[in-house]
Amino acid sequence: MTVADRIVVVAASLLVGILFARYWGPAVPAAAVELRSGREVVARYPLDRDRRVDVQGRLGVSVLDIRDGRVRFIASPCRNKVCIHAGWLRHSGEAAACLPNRVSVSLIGGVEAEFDAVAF
Amino acid sequence: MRLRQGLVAAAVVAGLAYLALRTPDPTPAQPSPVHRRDFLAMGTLVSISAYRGDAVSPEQAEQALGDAERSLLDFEHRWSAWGEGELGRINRKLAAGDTVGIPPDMQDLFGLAMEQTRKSRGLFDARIGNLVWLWGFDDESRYRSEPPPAAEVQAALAPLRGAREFEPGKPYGPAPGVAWDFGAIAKGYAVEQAVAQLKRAGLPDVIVNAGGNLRAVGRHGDRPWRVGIRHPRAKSPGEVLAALNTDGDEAVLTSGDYERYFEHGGRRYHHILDPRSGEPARGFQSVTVVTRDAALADAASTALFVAGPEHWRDIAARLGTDRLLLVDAEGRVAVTRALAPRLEFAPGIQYQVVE
Repeated sequence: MTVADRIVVVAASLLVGILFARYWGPAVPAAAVELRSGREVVARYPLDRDRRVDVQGRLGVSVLDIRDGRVRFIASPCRNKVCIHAGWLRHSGEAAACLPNRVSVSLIGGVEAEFDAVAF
Repeated sequence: MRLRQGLVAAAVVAGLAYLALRTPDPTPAQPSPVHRRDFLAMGTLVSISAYRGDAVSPEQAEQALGDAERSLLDFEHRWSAWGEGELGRINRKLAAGDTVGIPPDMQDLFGLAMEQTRKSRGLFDARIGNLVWLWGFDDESRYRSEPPPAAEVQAALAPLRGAREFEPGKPYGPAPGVAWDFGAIAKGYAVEQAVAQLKRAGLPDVIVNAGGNLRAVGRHGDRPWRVGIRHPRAKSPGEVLAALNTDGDEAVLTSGDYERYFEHGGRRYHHILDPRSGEPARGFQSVTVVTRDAALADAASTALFVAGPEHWRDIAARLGTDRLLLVDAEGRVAVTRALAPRLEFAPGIQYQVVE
C-alpha cells in the first residue's frame, strides 16, 4: 500500500462516514417535552431520560410517561380518555391534550418535523 | 504492514461506528426562524407557527404570537354558546323568549352561518345550540358517557323545523327553543382572523391550526408549508393519511368522528350532529376540505360529513367546493380528482379517485 493509497482509503472512509452521519445518523425526532396546565407552562423535560410526570390540572392529576424519546398520557381524570387514546407523541411539533383537565403537551426541538402542522 | 492495515481498518470502523451511533446535538446553532406557540382555546388545542423573516425581530415575533393568542381567547369568550360573553347573553335572552339585537361586529359570522345553512339545505346549522348542549359536546367539563334519552333529543330538535332565519341588520327573535352554537364554523372563522392579524404584525408566513382547522399562508422559508392530514384511526398523532404542500394561501379543514366522542354499547357517539335526526352523523370517519376560506371550509366539512357517502356530491356542488378527501365508515379512502394531484399518500394507504 503506497502513501497515496492510504490517503485515498482514509479520505474515502471519512467521506462515507460523514455521509452516513449526515443521512443515516440516528434522528432526534424531538428533544424535549413541554407540559402545560391551563395557560401555564409547568415544566420542560428532555426526552433522553425516561420518567413519569404528574401534572396537576383542573380536575386532578394527569400522568405522562416519557420513554424512549416519546411521551404519552397514561392516566387522566377525564371521562372519555381521548388524551390516552392519542397514543405516543414522537416528533417535534406533535401535541396532545386532555381538554377536560386542561393539561396539554407538545414536543419541541430536535430535527425539524416532517410536517409543519397536521389537520386532524 | 499487516498490523498497520489492521489498525487503519479498526480506526475506520471505530470512526464510522461513532458517527452512526452518536447522538446529534439537538440544539441548533442559530435560533430557529420558526416561532411556535401551543395553547388551549375554543375547546381545542391551537398551534400557531410563524416563519420569521429578517424584517421582524424574534422579540417582535413572540409579541405578535402572544397578541394572536389573546385575540383567540377573547374570541372564545365572545362566541361561546353558554359562557359569560356576548353569545351566551344572546342565547339566554332567546331562551327567555326575547328578541335580541346582534352586535355589528357579530353580524358577519351570523350572516355567513345562515348562508351556509341555506346552501347546505340545513345539513350545517348553527341554530342547534340546544341540541349540542344536550349532547354535552360544547363543554369538555361535562362530556357524557351515554347518549341522551331520545325524547329529549326530539324536544331539542322540534323548534328547528321552520326556525326563524337570521337576517343581516335585523334583531333576531323571538325564537323559542333556538340557541346559536357556532362550533362548526367559528374555529375556521377565528383562524382567518388570526392569520390576518399576524400578517398586519409583519408575519405573512404562518400556519394557524385550531384543532385541525388549519389556515396556511406564505411559506416556510424556501419551501412551502407542509401539512399532514391525520389518519382518522391513527394510533399516534403523527400517523397521517396524506401530505400536502400548501400553495401559499390555503385552508385545510377536517371534520372527524375522533375529535370529541364517547363510546357506549360498542358504538361511537361523536360531536358532528345531524340536524335532521339529532344524532351523530353516520357514514364517514372524516371529511377534509381544501380551499381558500377557512370559515366556509369549516361549515362545508361539517355539511359534507352529515350528508354522508350517498349525498356529499350534491352538497359539494351547492357549496362550490371540489377538493375533498373522504374516509367512509369502513375506512375506505376517496379523493376527488381536483385534489388528488396535490396529495402524497402515506405508504400503504389505498385510495380511489372520484369525481
